Amino acid sequence: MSEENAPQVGQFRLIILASVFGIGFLAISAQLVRFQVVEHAEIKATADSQREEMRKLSTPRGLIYDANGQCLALNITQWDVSVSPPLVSEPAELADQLAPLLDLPRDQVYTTLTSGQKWSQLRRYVAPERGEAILDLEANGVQCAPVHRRVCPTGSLFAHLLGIVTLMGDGFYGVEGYYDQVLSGREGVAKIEHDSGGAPLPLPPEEEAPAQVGTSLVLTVDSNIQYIAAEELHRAVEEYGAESGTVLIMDPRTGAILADVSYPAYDPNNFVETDMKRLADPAVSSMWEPGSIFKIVTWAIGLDTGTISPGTTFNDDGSMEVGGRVIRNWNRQAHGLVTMSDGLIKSLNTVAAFISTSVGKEDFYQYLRRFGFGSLTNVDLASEGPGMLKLPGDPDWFPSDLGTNSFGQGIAVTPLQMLTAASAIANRGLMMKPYVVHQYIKEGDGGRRVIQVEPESNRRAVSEATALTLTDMLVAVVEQGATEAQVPGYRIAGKTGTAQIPTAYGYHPTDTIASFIGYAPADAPQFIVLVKLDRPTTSPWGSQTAAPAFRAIAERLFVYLHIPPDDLRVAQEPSP
Amino acid sequence: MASRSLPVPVPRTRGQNRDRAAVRGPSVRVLVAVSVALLILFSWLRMILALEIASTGRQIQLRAQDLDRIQRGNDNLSLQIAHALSPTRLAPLAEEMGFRPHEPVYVPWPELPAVEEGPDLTDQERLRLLIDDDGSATSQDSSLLDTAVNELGVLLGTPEAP
Repeated sequence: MSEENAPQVGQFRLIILASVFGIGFLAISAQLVRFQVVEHAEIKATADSQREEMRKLSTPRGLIYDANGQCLALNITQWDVSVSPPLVSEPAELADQLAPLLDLPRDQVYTTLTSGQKWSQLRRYVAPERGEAILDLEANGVQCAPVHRRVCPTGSLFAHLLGIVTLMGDGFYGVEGYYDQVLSGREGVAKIEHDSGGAPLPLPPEEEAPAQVGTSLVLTVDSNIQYIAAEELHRAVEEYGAESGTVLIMDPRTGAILADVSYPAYDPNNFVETDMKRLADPAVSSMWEPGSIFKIVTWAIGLDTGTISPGTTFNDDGSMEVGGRVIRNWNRQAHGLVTMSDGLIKSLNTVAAFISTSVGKEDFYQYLRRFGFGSLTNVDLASEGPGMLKLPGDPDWFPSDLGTNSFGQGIAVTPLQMLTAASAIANRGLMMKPYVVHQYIKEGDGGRRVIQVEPESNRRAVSEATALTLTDMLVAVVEQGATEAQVPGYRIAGKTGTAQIPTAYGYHPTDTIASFIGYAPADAPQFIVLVKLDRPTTSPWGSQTAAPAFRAIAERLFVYLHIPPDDLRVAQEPSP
Repeated sequence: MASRSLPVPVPRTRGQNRDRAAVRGPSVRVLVAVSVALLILFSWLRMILALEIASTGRQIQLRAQDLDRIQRGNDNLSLQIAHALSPTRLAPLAEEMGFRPHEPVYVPWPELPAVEEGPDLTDQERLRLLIDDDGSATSQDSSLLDTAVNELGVLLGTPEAP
């Protein structure tokens, strides 16, 4: 190469170098544009997902209190304790400390700690105070994961009424099921940043959506009344050899449910070991043919339509044919000329059929609908059933049903439906909507807010005059017929029922469902009680099983509710 | 006559401008030094702030943990209180201590006279007034009522009537 060409070569090299740099610069620029403009969103999302975590802020489920402020359902934190054996430095010492707290044999814990596995579960659902003690150990390799659980401190006492809450926090049955969304509140969301190792940065979490605390509920139910009902029901079931039973107590003036007990109950804190069929509240979900307690409704219809009066007579020859079916009395006897009052005291099926046929099917079934049969009571409890009422015109309705329905056969009701219908008579004809929750307690930024639930009237079932007349007749039933339900010093209105149990082959030859509905004091009722015993074995009759159970409950309620005997109460009342 | 030259303004040279500029503003060195100082100051402030945020964040985390722990303790105490007050626990305890639903005492009384409310009357005294006021009570009724008064005394936990 000549000296003359040297500058040209140098220039050429410079051009090459500049080109390389230029291309490199362009390539980098292109990549920058790609990263920052074209794929900006994707790359940012990837980076954010590696650095940020949207963590759900759990909110505690609302509490449930009884009418006296006693806590019936609350939340606790239990612990799932696990261990990473390779991280444990002194297994022998740790085993000594953990074994008593986990209630496990020391050797078993030691074996796990020295197993060499990467991870091993030591024990689930460790009690709160023990979990805290394990946390205080601050032992390397031991992990405590919190598990939030719903606890009912009263055990099985409120099982059916409250329902259950799963480990996922979902409520089913009873109050927990009906008010699940109200009790749950709303989960919040917070953004948390991590370092490159995945550990959360010590920065305050950025709340994207604040958590809304669950609303607490105050029930109308009184723990003491519930306990009285449960104790007496248990005693009755044992004493009369019944298979199961239900007691419902309501304030007929408001529709407030004071007690709702069914036996056998289950432990809501350990419901997983219970048969699923037993979880629903029988008081609102199970149906039965009510039998003679349904005569309260039939007599009310007869009186309200003016078809009968207490003194109306009927010649009972022991049987009556309705729609091709012969209806007989429970004792298969004829009673001759009887008044309507006598018919109710002696619980005569023929008189009931006489009333329903005299009223006529249109009016009779219209009244049954007005009393709420065949439809929901709309009580605030989950899994309520509507019962079963066949109406004229339905393919499965027969003319004979008009006769059999009058004494509670061929119709299926829930205990709450029956109690609500009878409470209309106790409340001078006005039927109140049954309810269980009477206060909502909302905790929020603005402090505590209490919302009162007011009693709600469903409709007028019968006139006041009809209700008062029927009450007098029902008092006579207790004084002259079902004397086992009497409490000295108090006028009690009530009616027994002994219902046959339908099977696939007709009615069961021996088994019955015994029941009693009564309210007191008859002239100003403060409570109405339904006692239902399934398949009692010592006696099939409601008068010999359910009525004494009612008496036992009523006696204790008079004392607990400070209801003085009638004479004293009337003397104390101010004269109008 | 000698002529006198008129005063002519002397044009300014480059050097003069530079000198004047040097007099007017700080030198580049000073500017760089100030910039560096400011940079260090802001970096230091930023670091202090970042440390403060991290420290506060950690404090918040610790407080939140404390709050969680207190809340768990609170829940635990609530559970213990609810257990302790539950009728399923209290009723057997009461029965162990001798309390149980007492059989009611029913006193036959044909017409219960109205009693005026006395200011300091006990239930026992009020019942005794009823007995004393009604002259129609037979000796059998009176003994029955005495029994009832004594029963009432036992129930109320007051000394037995003489």
